[in-house]
Amino acid sequence: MLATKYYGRLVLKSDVPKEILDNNPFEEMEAICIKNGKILCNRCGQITNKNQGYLPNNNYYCPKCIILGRMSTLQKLVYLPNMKEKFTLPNEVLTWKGNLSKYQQKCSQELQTAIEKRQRFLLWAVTGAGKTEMLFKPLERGIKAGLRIAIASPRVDVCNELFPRIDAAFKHVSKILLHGRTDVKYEYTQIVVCTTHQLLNFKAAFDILIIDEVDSFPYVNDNGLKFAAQKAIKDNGALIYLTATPSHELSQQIKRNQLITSYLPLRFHQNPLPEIKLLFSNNWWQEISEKKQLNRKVIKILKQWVQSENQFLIFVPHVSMLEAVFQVIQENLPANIKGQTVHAQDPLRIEKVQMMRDKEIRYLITTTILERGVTFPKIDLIVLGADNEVFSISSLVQIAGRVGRSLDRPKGDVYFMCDNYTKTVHKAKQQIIFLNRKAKKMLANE
Amino acid sequence: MHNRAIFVYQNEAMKDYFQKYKFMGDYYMRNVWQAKFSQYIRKNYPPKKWRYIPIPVSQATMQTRGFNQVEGLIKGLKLDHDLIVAQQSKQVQSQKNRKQRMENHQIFEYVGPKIINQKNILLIDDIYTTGRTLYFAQELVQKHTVKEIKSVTLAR
Repeated sequence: MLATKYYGRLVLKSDVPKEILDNNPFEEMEAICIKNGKILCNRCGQITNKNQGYLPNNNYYCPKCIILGRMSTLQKLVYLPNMKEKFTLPNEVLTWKGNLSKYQQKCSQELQTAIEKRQRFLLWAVTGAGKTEMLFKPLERGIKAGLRIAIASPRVDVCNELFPRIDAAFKHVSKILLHGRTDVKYEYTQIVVCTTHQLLNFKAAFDILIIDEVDSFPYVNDNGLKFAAQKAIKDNGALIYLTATPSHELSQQIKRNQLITSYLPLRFHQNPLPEIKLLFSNNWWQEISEKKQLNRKVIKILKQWVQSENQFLIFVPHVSMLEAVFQVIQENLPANIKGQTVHAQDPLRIEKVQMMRDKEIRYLITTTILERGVTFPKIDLIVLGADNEVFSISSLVQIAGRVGRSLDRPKGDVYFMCDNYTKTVHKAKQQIIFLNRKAKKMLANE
Repeated sequence: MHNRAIFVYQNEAMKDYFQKYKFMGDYYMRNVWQAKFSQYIRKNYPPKKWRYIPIPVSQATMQTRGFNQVEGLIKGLKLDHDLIVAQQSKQVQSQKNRKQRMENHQIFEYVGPKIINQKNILLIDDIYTTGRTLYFAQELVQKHTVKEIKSVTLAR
């Protein structure tokens, strides 16, 4: 039996067949240690009070990463270091034939250098700048050098959108897509596309680890996932972050020169980001939930969109608002204009997003789950209750960034409707204006 | 046999609960129902009149899960471990379909006192599905008492 499947994996001893265990130099460790009277998990690195992870007979478990299967003092973990396993190199590695703009090329080049020097590096590029394409050349170099690569994102949807693009760009290179919603059996491949949660199952596995949308939930405030990322790369590996909206923590690191950053304020089609247009309402949610009425200004906008024949997105703050909003919108639109609602726990989530892609429906009403990583080529959008606290500055900038992403239609409408003009809404609006100014300058300096 | 259940199992929230508590092994989740379940038992089957026998788990389950999910749901009541899982049964009840469950031979062994004649018997389990588990338990216990035997489960 081949042991390649276990290279760089951190798995339960009981899950490895005895024959493989006996014939390979596995390192063994406790799944859980008790340190200073607290529970320390060796998979996610998190510490828990004893009473929250207590089991009878003086056993303990980790409640923090239990979603991936429970780690407890009843178990042992094993890890097989990466052997000098050579990946078979296809004749043609990069099957992507596109071109980069000179701005993209510069960022791509800087990324390349960071990988060669095995650095921690941030590629900060606006929504729709073409981050994925900027990865291709550096990854090609890595693949040719026999390196193992992971591209991870906190969001399942982002992974699902990323995988086919990586697959098309590196057709003949072995790869796998891992997340909690697929039944794919793990295999040893040169490229791994996965959620950041899946990184918990790796140890010293990757030469290059790319974390896409690094500022998004749940990665941004989960120390277990940050630990997982550090643990999943080899000692001399490169850690690359990608985002359009760096978190406060990353911004601080940039300011203190602790993080090498490459910055691109320009979209790939070199048009400015659509600016946010504000609409003010007087308790919009009450109007919908109690009076079953939709704001007049919104009706007017929706009717314009219906005539223009483009698709559109409607964002609301909470899942519980979806149905009521859906109803009033249906009442105000012609019957032949079909839509759907979609949220994180929706069992048909993937199918509904696909319906939108296939143009079977005209609009989606959704929550922050579609704020990033998804591209619908020609859309307009409105955020109802943009002043709600669930929307952070980066969420709002990301949402606005869904619009005008294709060369065919680089413009589009972005409306934010709010009861109050909050600091967050203001800052999101200003950030887009700022980025556009930067982009303009960049173009003028040619 | 007379069984009472407090909740319906065929509902998403309850299934989700058991998924976390029992199948993923999040023992801390016992706290969600422990107080309520224990109080229900104490009130309806007072300890003066009733002997409480929890449905046991196998050695193997104890090794992997690390706890008996029934006992986790009980606090402040004295449990009598009169039943243990018989050695030969390997497959866990919840992994079998209805037919398989019905075909089974006795899955428990009685290790309690020869005769129980002071108290009624209350068999306690977490989920009532086909009733087969409790039937086996009753079949064994019956041989050692003439008193009443009832059962209670958290969900059905």
